Amino acid sequence: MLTTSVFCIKSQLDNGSVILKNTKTGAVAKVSASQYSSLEYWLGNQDESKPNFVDSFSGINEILVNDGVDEFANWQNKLLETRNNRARIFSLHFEPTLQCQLECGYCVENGIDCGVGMTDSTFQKSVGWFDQYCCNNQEVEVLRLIFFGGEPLLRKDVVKKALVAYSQLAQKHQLEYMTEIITNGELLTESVAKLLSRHNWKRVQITLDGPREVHDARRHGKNNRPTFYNIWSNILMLTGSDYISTVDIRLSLDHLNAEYIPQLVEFMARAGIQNRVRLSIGFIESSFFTQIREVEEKWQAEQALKVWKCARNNGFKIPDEYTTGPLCVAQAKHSAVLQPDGSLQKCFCTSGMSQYVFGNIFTETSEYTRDKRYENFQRLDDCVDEKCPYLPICGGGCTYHASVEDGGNTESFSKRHCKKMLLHDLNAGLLRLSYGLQE
Amino acid sequence: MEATTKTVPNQVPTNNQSQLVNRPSPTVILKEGKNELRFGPVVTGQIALGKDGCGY
Repeated sequence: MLTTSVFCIKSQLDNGSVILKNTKTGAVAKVSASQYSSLEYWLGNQDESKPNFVDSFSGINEILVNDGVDEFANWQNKLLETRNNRARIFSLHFEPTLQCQLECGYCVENGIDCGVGMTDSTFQKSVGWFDQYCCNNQEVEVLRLIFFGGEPLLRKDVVKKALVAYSQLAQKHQLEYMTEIITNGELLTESVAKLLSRHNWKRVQITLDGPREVHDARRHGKNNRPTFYNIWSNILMLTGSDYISTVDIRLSLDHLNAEYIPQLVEFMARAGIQNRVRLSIGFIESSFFTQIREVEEKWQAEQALKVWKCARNNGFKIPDEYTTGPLCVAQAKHSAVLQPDGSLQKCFCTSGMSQYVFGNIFTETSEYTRDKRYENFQRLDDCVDEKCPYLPICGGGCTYHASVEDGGNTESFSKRHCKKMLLHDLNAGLLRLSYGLQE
Repeated sequence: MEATTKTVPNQVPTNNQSQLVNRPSPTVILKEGKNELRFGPVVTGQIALGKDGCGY
């Protein structure tokens, strides 16, 4: 007997066609209204002849599954088995400094002590620490060196040293190596791009908050110094050259700038950079230091879909799903945020907050980069009890935001950050946007 | 993520199938499923960072 997977979501089109998707396998199918009716009928009468498309819905696609299979238990086992026993990538968020030349009002790092940046002695020690880590953890096969901050390019000297030292370490341990950077983009000049491109540069993420006036009102420097022009010039330099294949542009979105984001998308489209840019939306939420006005998930989904529709209509690639998991970098077995003082954390959102430190590069240990607070997978129990179909693309949501909501104590790490309404509305809308016109 | 399109071949109708079921079908699997966790740094390197769900 076949039944519809617990991870199957559906989205209906105006003409009655139905798009079905399994959030676990990623399979997407579209059926006409009459075919969907025939499917529903047959599922209740499986002794009769089956519709001709049923076989393609089972097997690896898992839109239909065998009745009686405990899909949640299977998924949870696979999640833990994969996380614990198939960990081959080390994601190192390397923070040369926590200082930043921008003064964005919503930054998660507002309120922390930004310190003085990484000393040469700490840098050298970090290289030795990672060298030893590779010896102790032979299962690591890939090193992602991700520059983060603060603004990492305020310390180009450290970035330059790290690129050389860590890529050499990767070579020594026969690791695949790649460079990534999360930057506000203001200092990402051609000479920096040239430098990064020599070290297998795979990813850059730059945030824009809207058209020039909106961006400059939110992501400005000291004394309201505007930043859009420099950042945009650097984006055009990247999209007009071959230093990196794609530029990730993050569009921050909250109640103050949402209406302006489509204008930004149209502005970018007029520059003709659609094929060199990958857009993503970052919903601004409260941090430990900054209270952001709460907005409804339904509103977030509506705003995001307006942006994605505009992006699609202007020739940008758009995602066909919205995900928040199931595993983030903080929950990975081999991952760390290396802070300028040599302390280690799991999540870059807690940079500069000592209570989230789990270790440092000065103390020898054979343990993997472990913070048990991020291994609290019982936080998924409520999701399973509720039979949430979004679990495979959510994983209980962001631990950091769950912690912010719950006051940041130890118990808050056991809480989930449920955004089911947002996941529902946004994913249904993205399916319609991505597949609705292919009729 | 871009969609890949694969047409599911229509099966030869059998005698007792309804008219509804028998009709030549435009049904397609628009995207094939994968038999693994699709996300997660431990497997693919494709992490929440850079995807919509993570703010930074």
